[in-house]
Amino acid sequence: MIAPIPDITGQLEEHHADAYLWSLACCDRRPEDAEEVLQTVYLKILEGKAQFRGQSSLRTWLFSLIRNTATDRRRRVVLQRLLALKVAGDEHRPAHRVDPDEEVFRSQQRAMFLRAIGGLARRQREALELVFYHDMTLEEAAGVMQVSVGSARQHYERGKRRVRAALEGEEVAYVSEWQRRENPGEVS
Amino acid sequence: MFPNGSDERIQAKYRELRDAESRRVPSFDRVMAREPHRRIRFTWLVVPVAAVALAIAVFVLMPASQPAIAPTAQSKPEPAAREENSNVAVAPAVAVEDTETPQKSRKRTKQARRPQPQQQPSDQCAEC
Repeated sequence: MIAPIPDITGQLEEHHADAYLWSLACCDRRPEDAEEVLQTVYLKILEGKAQFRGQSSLRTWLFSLIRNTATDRRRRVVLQRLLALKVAGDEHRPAHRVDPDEEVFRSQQRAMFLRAIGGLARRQREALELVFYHDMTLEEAAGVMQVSVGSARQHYERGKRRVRAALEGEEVAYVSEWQRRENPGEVS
Repeated sequence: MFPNGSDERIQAKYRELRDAESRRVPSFDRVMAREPHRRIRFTWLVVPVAAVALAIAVFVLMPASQPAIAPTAQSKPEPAAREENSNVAVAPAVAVEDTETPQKSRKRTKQARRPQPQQQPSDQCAEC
């Protein structure tokens, strides 16, 4: 039984910020791709191609839809690269949208953290992102990732362990680099 | 939920990241007003599709249609040659039985008669 969602546009607008941030995470933090994926998802919902069945919360369903659409897009891009096909519209696409605050935004600490989570497996990254970034429970995260709760927990625990190790490694490297710059003559 | 300090630390990092990224969320209307997403050019898509179709036609459909092909001129004489050979092998046995022991049991006579329908007319037999 498909339950019609009253005022679907209003509901989407309500979850828009969260949906965009999740889309950004699913697209490896590329804003252009995140917007494209989100637009595709909204169109799917508004045109009735994707229908909410009420098996989970609207937010979980929306996140799941975004994840699947981003995965499809990623596959399509890989296929296009393999076939060396050109994509219509690429010619007029800006190379990269540069924000004036980009330099400030990309601080060294944040870049370090992004490197640490960038080295994780996709499922581990998703589990951590959903729990820590979007404040979801593991059950909700499992629903979005379409895996069992046990599996989601495993990804979550392994991801945490790897992030911890990566951050420690980065910090040690950062401190030693800083010390080397402070005392260039010192040989360790 | 966060039994040790490292979990809180990871969460703090994520919070920091979220705060920074939340400032740049485009509006709902802007996302909806984007150009429609890009499509693969049709002309380029035709090439791999045609190649796959051709491969299917060659490797899948052709072997199935082979029995329907009519025999060529070179392969025609072969069955005739086989018939001749079989006649040569069978005919003497019949001839020997008929000539040497004409009054043997019925059973042997029947066995000798069996190949007869396959026999060529007697004018084609070498020994007759």
